[in-house]
Amino acid sequence: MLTISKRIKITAENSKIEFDLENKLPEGEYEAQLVIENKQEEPEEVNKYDLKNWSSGIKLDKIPSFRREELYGDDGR
Amino acid sequence: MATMEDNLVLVDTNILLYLYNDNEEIKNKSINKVDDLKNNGNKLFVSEQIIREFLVVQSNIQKITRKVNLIKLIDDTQYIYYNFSIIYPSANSLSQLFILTLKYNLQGKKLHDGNIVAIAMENNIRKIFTNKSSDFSFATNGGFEIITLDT
Repeated sequence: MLTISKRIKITAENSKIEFDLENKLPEGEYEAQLVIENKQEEPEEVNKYDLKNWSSGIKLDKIPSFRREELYGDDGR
Repeated sequence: MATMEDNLVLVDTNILLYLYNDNEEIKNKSINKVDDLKNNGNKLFVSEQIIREFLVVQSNIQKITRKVNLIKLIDDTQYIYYNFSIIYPSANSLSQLFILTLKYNLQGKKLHDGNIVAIAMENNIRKIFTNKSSDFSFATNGGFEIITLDT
């Protein structure tokens, strides 16, 4: 028995699902059961023109000036 | 009479770092200033050097607080491309750096600021948006206008 979990896309034609078994079973006839879970929500497209969405996930409480005098070492790197 | 140069602004590394930071006060202040500049007809630029410095500093900050997520960091640089035009160094900007170095006696780390000004000059930009105006005092002598978060 082989259990395969894959994300599939139902096309507009809604007639065929194909995926690769990666040679996990020998040639022959099998009985297969297909269980389709609930529809997955498409990830929301983030508006990258909106800088409010631009987040490092890090909140600096003390804000450095980030002067180049501080960013670079005395060897210039 | 206004010339095209009046509307071109180079945004400095510290401003990008403030925009990317989750401290709401400094982030919102920076966003408002960027919006204000754009709404007043300015075109905003960043240079290759500024993006490189942004990556250096941000990866160092992440290293202190957590494991560095380079995939997210590189992916997040897309916001820079969406919001600003990118300019690159050239043979002419390097020559301009030599001229500035001699003219203003730029030494040591000051040459990094000099390179920002040199690339701006080669792209007809005469305004720099930064949070540390004194770093570019030599440029103001050469006709640059320095815009800060508070001006």
